Amino acid sequence: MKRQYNQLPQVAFSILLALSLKERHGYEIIKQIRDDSNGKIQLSPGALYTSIKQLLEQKLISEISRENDTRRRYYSLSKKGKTVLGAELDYYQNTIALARQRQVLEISHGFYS
Amino acid sequence: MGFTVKPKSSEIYGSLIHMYPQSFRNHYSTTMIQTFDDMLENERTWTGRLQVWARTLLNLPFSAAKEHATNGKEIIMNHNMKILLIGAIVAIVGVGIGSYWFGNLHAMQGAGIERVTIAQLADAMRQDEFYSDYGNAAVLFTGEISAVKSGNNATLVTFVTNRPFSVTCQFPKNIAVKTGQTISVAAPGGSADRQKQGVLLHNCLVN
Repeated sequence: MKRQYNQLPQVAFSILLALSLKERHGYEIIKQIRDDSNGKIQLSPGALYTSIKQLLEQKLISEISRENDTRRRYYSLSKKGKTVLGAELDYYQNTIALARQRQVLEISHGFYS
Repeated sequence: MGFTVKPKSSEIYGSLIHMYPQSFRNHYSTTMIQTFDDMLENERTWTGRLQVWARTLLNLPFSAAKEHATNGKEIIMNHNMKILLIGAIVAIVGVGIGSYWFGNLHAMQGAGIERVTIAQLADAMRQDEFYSDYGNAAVLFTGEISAVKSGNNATLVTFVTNRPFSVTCQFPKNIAVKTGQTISVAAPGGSADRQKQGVLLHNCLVN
């Protein structure tokens, strides 16, 4: 079945994007999301782990335990997660291309370039 | 450092986690507390720590209720949960008032002001450390102007730097400055945006 575009909530999308480079533990994910969003998305542990639980249930991420760091759980992007993230990114890329084509971004783009 | 907030904070947050369902707590409580500790430890200022507390407490009732709902269980509050919920609400209000009061005090004492160089700003953004270093502070710096661009009642000023990342300030009105001039600027660190080739600071003021 072909996946529909833009099905992920923003927090879930941000977590997958944060895990796209390497596996991370909770605080590293929060920090990466904050940096990726220029400080606009700042998650609490509650918001993070309720989303992580759903992503684990959907098998989009995997949990990794480390013997030398038992208080932290590490997470990595699964193969399915990579596919879903890729579909989401395609959607955003197409949307931005469309907006540029329609010159919706002309004012801000011109001002800062 | 002279005092520690970690043990007390962990205990308080550990108690509040009881608002989540048992199955969720069994799996995530240790790592949630550790994440909360990591967040507090990496905040350098009191206001930053208060903001962590405020964000965590504000989200707590919602994420706990969501977790109960996804478990398909009605939220039945026992006596302890009621006390915890009331405690959380009191703490939220307290942290809110405390943040406002302490934030003002902090600003008045100048404790939230970071004097930096153009190179430090450029390096911090390039290394993804900008928001942890300056996100909660007002940055003050002096630099030589390399470019000026005006339009739409705003002025963009770019500064000379020997770094690969540029530093640009957006002034919310037209200002009379020119290339080669040296000016001192104040800007809220939290307003910064990462641009493709540098950092853009919004709402700058000539100091």
